[in-house]
Amino acid sequence: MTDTTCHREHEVLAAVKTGEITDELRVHALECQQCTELVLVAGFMNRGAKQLEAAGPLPDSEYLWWRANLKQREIQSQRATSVISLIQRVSLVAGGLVTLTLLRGVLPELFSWIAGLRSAAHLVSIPGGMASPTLVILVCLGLLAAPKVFNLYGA
Amino acid sequence: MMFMNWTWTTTGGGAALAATLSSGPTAAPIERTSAMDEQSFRLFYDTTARPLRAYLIGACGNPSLADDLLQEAYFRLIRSQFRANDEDHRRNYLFRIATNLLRDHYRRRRPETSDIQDMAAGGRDHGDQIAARSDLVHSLQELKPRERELLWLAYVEGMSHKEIADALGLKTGSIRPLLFRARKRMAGVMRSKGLAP
Repeated sequence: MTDTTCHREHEVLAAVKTGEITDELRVHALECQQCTELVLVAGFMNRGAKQLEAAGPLPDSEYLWWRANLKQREIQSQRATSVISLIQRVSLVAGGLVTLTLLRGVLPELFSWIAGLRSAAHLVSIPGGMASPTLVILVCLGLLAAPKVFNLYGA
Repeated sequence: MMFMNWTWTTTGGGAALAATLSSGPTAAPIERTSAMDEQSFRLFYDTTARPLRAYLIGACGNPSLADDLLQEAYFRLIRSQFRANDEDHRRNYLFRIATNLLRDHYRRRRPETSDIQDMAAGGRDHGDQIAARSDLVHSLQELKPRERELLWLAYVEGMSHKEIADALGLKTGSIRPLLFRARKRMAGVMRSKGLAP
């Protein structure tokens, strides 16, 4: 297929779109194979396009404007929120790491202190069970949770 | 001489379209190199929405889908804060957005589904019925998506090869041969459907 095109296609297309044509161009369009085809296709398409343009009501422009701006605000707020949640995640991870590091240093000492309490219990007549590590931890947790449970900080 | 009757009786639509675009309050020039405010958007929308929807229906064959894509195209235009040199520039940009949306749709669509078949089966409203009956819509569905877009942008929208290349993401030099082949195919489809001598 050779894709030769006529140098007068622009003129012919303009004539198809406006409906204004000179006799000389009309003769050319009839004689030139490319222009004949152009008139056929472009004329058909423009007629069909007019039909489709009339098809049904359009969405309201005000509604579109309002929705587009709403969507824009949503995107902006999502961006802002995503930064905040990223910072929260980073700080949680950092907090976790710090806690772990502290526990690594403190736990052995804590356990040795508790073990010391157990061994010293019989010297001061404290029942051995009272100095068990589990019980000490539970008591500590209870002391920490008590203000919350009994609403000591007020509403 | 069916050709002559056809040609010069069908061009009235083109003239009306040209008149619509070149006169009246809706064709007021939009402020240069500025993003749109609500007023200029409304003017721009009044001028471009119907031609854009016709383009989308022609390309995808489904008025309901075309309406969805139309809305998305305007959303993206507004969100882009595109600074246009003039109304034509903005209009071309809008058609480019719409063409990209069509591409996304073709990519997502399962190969066994056909929009025009869905539409004919659904036939929900007046727009669907017009499109289902349209010889143009049926003929365009016989072409490849790119061929439909090329023909529409060139012959209905009257875009230059450069503008078409920008809208379709092609090289300007490739538009002429592609358009030539698309036109040949369209003429063949029209003949096969008895729409051309």
